[in-house]
Amino acid sequence: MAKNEFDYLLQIKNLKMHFPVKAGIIFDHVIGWVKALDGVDLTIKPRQVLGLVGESGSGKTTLAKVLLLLEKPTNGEVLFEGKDIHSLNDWELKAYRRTIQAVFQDPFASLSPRLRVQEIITEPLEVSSTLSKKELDNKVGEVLRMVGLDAGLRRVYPHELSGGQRQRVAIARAISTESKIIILDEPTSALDVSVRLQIVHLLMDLQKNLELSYLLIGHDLAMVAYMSTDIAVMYLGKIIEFGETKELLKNTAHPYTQALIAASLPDHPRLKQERTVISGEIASPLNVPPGCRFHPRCSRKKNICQEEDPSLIAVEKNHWVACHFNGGG
Amino acid sequence: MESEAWKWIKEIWRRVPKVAVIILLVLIVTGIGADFLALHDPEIGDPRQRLLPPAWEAGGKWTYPLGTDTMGRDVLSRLIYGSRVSLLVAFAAVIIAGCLGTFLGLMAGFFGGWVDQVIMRFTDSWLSIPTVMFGVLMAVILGPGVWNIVIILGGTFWSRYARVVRGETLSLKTRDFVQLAKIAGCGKARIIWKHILPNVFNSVITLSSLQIGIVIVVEASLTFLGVGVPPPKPAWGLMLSEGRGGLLAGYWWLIIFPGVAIALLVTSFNVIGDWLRRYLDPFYRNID
Amino acid sequence: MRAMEKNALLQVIGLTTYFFAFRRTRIVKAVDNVSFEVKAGDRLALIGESGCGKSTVAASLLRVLPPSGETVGGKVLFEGEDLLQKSNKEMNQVRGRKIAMILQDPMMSLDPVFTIGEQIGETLERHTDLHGDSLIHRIKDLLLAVRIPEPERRIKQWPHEMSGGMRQRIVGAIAISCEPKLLICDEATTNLDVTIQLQYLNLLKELQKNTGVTLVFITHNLGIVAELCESVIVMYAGKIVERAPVMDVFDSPAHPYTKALLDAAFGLQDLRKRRPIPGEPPNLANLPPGCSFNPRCMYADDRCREEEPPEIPLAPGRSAKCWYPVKD
Repeated sequence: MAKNEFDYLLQIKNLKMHFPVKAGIIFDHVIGWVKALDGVDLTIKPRQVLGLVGESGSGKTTLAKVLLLLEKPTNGEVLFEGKDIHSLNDWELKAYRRTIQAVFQDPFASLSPRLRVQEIITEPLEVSSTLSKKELDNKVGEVLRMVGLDAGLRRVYPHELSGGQRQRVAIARAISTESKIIILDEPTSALDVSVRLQIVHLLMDLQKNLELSYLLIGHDLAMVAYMSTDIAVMYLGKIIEFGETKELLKNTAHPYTQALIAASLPDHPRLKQERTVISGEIASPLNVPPGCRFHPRCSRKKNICQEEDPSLIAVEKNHWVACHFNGGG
Repeated sequence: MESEAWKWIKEIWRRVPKVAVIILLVLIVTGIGADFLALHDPEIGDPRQRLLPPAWEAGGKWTYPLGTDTMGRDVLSRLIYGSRVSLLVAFAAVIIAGCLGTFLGLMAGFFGGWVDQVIMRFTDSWLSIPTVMFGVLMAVILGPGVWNIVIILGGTFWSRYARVVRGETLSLKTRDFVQLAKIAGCGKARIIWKHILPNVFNSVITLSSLQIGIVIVVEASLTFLGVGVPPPKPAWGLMLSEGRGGLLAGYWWLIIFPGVAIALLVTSFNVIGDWLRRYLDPFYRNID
Repeated sequence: MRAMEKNALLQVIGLTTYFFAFRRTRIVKAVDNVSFEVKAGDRLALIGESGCGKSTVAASLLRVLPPSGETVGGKVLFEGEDLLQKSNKEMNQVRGRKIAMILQDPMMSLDPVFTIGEQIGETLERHTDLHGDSLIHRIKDLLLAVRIPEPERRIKQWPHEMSGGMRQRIVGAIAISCEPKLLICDEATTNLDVTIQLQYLNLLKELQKNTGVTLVFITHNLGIVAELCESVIVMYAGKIVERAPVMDVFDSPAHPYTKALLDAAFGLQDLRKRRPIPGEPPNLANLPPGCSFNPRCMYADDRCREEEPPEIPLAPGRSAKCWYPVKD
């Protein structure tokens, strides 16, 4: 991973987010910690589509929140142009906010119900830049066209639009500031099946044309694999496997990733197989197991797995795994 | 081709509870146009015409359609002018209460923490004060007068708004579009003004229409008790209190007409308020 | 009119359900003349997107429509009797006992103020005469049947103390508690994590093997259909547009909508560029004339835009509601 500032857009170092769990009526004391993020290292490069996969409790949503400045981490840093995003001055902060935008899962909740489409789209620009009304108007027309919506929809209210159209408006808003990174949190899960691929293709076209980077959070491994150049798999607050998409799918190294792939549903009834599902429930970030956090559910565990938490080691040029048997079987 | 506005009006008309709206419009229009509609001066009467019964009764005159009171003042004219007074007081009080309550509710809901605690404890205690007694107390302290009564009423009813708006604010705060506004870099003021306030507005409107009925009744009660709108201004509550004695003596028109007027106004507001609650709520919650 | 199959557990004939809004001035044709059969022991998938009518079909046959919905026509023959003709009291003997349903969100299906034991027990008390120790014994058996370990401890627990996957299994336990003949799963695994989802589907297969219950799976996820189901019915805009055995649906879909769905679906085994379906799902209050799918269909011609096609039989057990079913 390069140390050159211009080689990355965001560099995440050892990010931890531990929420204290308090009990007590008058004087509360801490009885435990929810380790939502427990040491995440990640780099987002220009023009990269980084897929982030994980189940409940993996910490993927928390990671997004930290990057979007909605939460402050308890440890670690996120570097943007060399500075930690939580210690930027006003001017740098505005620049950061222009650079990073988000599109969330539920198109019915993402748009402010009492604002018109044009007001929704121009909000990020109004807040972090000083454009004239005319320039803002032009911008609205431009981004509406880019997301495949009729420019005449600018004066419409969200409730007059369908789910697919609303999500397009959300995307238009995200690209309006000429952002470089867009965090996509399950962008198609709440959409009708027939509309999902339209939005996916729109996102992929925009990524190419505008040279964007995406952090794509999803639970549907097939969709994430379809869109992403690289994939990071998270489990209980840590990245346990990371690699270029094709390589990761072909030579899956971590038992959890293998389980995720095994658990995904077949494309065709002929392809279904009897397969063993990993046992147990998904562990809670309140009770992270010692050593390797996956060991209670792992079929391959040995003694060392209960003692030492493995760190990410490269098994290939584009492939890192956090497992004591990395590269093995 | 129909204009947008006309289409919109026709849509609304199709759905509103028509009887209540018509009654309300009639009362409002007569209140506004009192100067043109009333036949006589409501405050100065002709003692020679005192206690005339309504026109269709024996002894009544058509120049005094609903009869006259003990001082010879035309009941109908007093009703019409009284409509203006009642509506003015009610609207003004509700606007004051609404603004104050909404502001406090927004602060409490949005900022949480001790701001929330302080405001809500204050609101809770305020809610527990019996309205009419408080009104009487304040009226004695402040003295009689139309604007005094408006302030008193406004200062009593704000607490319900604070409760409702706080609840709505709390739930709106967590919604995606507010998070996205924060992500875009919106300051707290902008978020409250552009994202939270417009979305609590519906609840405030609904609450207001339900509150107006209560405010009118409380105003009438206070006026009836002598601590509200002072005579000789025509107010329905005053008409009730002055006509009180007359009922047993057979001068029923002094009480019945103002009583019916109050009942009609309050009921219309309640019906519309109820309809608003049903119409606005699911529409904006269930955007599907 | 097809001859009635001897082993048809459920026969739906011409089911039509409308939703009325604004004092009956707006009619949404949620289910329009839908007919199908479910054979005993089958695993049927009812596929379609939101608004296609699949959930309304389930609600119609269990007679649990919301107040604005009304079944205006058709017959639902279950064990020889028409469910639509039964009184509410008679339906109460069917719901939970003969036909059970599992819904999408377990937190909505479970009551937060009752323990697990009380909730499973409620259904049993209603439909059987178990009580006391035998009741508790049965509850424990049910928990084991849905693979929940330590049933004695779980009986006393509350829904919020359990994970999403476990809650959905509790819902499953309640559903099978009275040994229903038919189990309807309405998007039952949509809210579950991927690994948990597979566990749950395997559980359903196992339950069917042990109790012989017939499964109807309502979903929009083709992966579930491939994994679990044997027969498929595809719905669009309130009508059935294709029915076929599962292999045929995936190998050679006949209706353009089915084909489009398959072309647009993501697959881990196949990362090729997919083809999206143009346009938007239809507005049921305002359907286009002719075939409801025509605005989005790449094969549509004038006939499709003017005349609504009938269901054309293609092979035994296969049909498509299309003037030009895709032949392979």
